[in-house]
Amino acid sequence: MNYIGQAGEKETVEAFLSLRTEESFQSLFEALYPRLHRHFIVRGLDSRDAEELAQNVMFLVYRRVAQLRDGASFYGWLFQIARNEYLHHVRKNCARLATVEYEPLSGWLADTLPAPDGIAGTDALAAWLSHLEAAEREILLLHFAEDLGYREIAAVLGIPLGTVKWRVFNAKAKLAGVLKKEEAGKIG
Amino acid sequence: MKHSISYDDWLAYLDGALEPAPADRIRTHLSTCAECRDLYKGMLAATASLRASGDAYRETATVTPAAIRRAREQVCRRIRTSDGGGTLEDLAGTVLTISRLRRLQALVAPVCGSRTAFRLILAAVSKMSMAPGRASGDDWNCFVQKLNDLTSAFCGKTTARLVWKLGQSLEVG
Repeated sequence: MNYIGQAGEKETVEAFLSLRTEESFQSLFEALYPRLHRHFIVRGLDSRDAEELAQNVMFLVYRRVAQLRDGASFYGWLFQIARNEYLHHVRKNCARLATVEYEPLSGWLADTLPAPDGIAGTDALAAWLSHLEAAEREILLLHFAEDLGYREIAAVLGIPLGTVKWRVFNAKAKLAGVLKKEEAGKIG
Repeated sequence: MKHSISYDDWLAYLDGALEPAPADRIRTHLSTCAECRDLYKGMLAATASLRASGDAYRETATVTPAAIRRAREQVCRRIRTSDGGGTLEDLAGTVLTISRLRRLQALVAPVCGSRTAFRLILAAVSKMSMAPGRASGDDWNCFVQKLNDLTSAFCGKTTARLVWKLGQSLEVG
């Protein structure tokens, strides 16, 4: 399933970018707010902070849309704003910088994700990501949880496309190794 | 690079997005290299699991319609109350670059006062950013015209004409 390509959202984004009216912004808000809220929740923020940051992002989207040069890069731009808001929030609340990035993810996923049929474990995503380094985790979260493409991820993180691909490759190779060990353990 | 397959090709092959010719080359290699075949199968399984986990996460972590409505109303209220406020950086676009706006602000300030100059420019930029359609190369003239109209309304035609000329001078520069 391609989340970004879900019916309606693409058209909603295009409508806002071309009209920039309050009405088109309200439709955009309905489409994007849940994604942004999730984006912050999965990074360890509580619901109240996630709400506040998601609202800040949408406000900035409205105010800064004139700065967006190319509508095709909307999602990269959007999540770049979200990332800046998140980093600003973390810096403002200092302290937990080292732990906030990942630790709550596992607990939150385990608490909130019921196991759909065919999915192994409620915290499968967290379990997979726990084998990776922070930089790899962030990229895989953006790719698999936010459904962003490599190019968009490069824009969000401000790093070269080649670096994104290299880290994704490494992360997948690492996880392949984990899988192999698990299988060997089962057989053993 | 592993066995002369680049990581770029590996990723594209895993995503099913590789061109037929290089995909065939990898397929052939995998049929003869057990090490790469193992790696490929492992990466494929990991990718499938991550994708399934990501899908499940997106479908489950939702916000209620009432919460979305409440948040939307708050943001819209914030937009309305902050209309005309904010900073030039918030509103500057592709044509209305911040450096150009700052230069204009510096030129207009001696004419009608720095606070008025700032507010007039901000209001004119605001009108531009909310106009239907995308900014184009001709928008500077359009912006200067809007600034001229606003200046005329608040400071009179003589000042407006002067501001218009200052705006035009920046276009030439």
